[in-house]
Amino acid sequence: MKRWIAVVATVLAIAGCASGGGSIDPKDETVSLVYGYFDMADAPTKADWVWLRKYEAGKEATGYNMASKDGVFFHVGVEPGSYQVEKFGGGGGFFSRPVEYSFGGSGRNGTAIRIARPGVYFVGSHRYVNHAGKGFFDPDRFEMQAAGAPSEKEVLQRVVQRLETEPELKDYRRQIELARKRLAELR
Amino acid sequence: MRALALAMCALLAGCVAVSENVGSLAEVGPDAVLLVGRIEVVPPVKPEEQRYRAGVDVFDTRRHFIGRAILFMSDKPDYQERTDVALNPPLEETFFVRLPADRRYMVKGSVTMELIARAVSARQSVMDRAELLFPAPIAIDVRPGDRALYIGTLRLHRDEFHEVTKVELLDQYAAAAVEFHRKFPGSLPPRKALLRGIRK
Repeated sequence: MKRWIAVVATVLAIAGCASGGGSIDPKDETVSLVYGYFDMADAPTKADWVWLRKYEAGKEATGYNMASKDGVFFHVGVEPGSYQVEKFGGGGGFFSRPVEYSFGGSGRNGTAIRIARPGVYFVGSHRYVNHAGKGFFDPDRFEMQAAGAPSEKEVLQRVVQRLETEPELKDYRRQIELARKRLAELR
Repeated sequence: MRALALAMCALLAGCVAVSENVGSLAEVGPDAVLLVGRIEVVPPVKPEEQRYRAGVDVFDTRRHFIGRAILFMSDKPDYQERTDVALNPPLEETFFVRLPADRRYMVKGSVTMELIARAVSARQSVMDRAELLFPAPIAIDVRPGDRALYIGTLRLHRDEFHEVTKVELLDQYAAAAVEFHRKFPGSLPPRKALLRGIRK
């Protein structure tokens, strides 16, 4: 299953869907730009994908898969609703297996956002902190801690740089303008 | 994740003494008390909100999760990932459950909103889970000689992330006593011992 998720994430990333390109109408004024950052330096693997889950009572879980690059992840086509990062993971490689991490599903976590109006929304910078087990039979544990760096401004600058330069994202002029406006507010 | 997996395994394997509603006071026994109370969630948890897919369920463990809370009880208020005694009261109605007298601390309480087993490979599976977690620990005032206790109505307000945002404790003794006497006619009424140590 992890491998399957990783394959889907990779396909989506290649297709540009993972960051909202492709199937998202650039003229759709109802959707938002959502972005964040995970520092995985302390983790056994990097994060290639991040799952932003939508919380709707009584409905099957839906959400958005976001490709992560150098810790930064974003999506340009998030519909209004309540969201938080539910899980994230790495696709593995020739010498490693795909890994999936849970951000924590019991209640609200540090990435929770409510999108009432279209705009730009930051789910925060978070750091993977490993807690080593106390013995051979006590496995390591981890938690995702809110991190002061990089700041929202630094993360958004990297998002804007990608929006402006990656061919499949350049059509999202509205999102780029919203991001620039937010950057101006952060100065 | 580990806590829930262990709890699941324990429930499945029968390692946890799970107390559901009792039918008569004779089921309570000399070293236990009958707890009378109520748990309400605002807005109420609809059955279709709880997603439970844990594979072949020969012991019908699903019944412990749908429309019910699971309260792990201990002799100490310190948090433990699981204990060997769990109360399993139904939500939104007056419950009558058996509590061993020496397990008067609820160290973990939750309503399972999602418990889904997914196969990762031929040899590995994972559990997706989400819980509405109660404030804990909560102490129950059990005294020598107690046979039945009324602990109040625990009303938990939640948001869309299933985070408890507000807790109320209501004293609805009169209504609960009527139900108690209907269920156990001729018995002494429960002593009022409202829950303590609730923080939110």
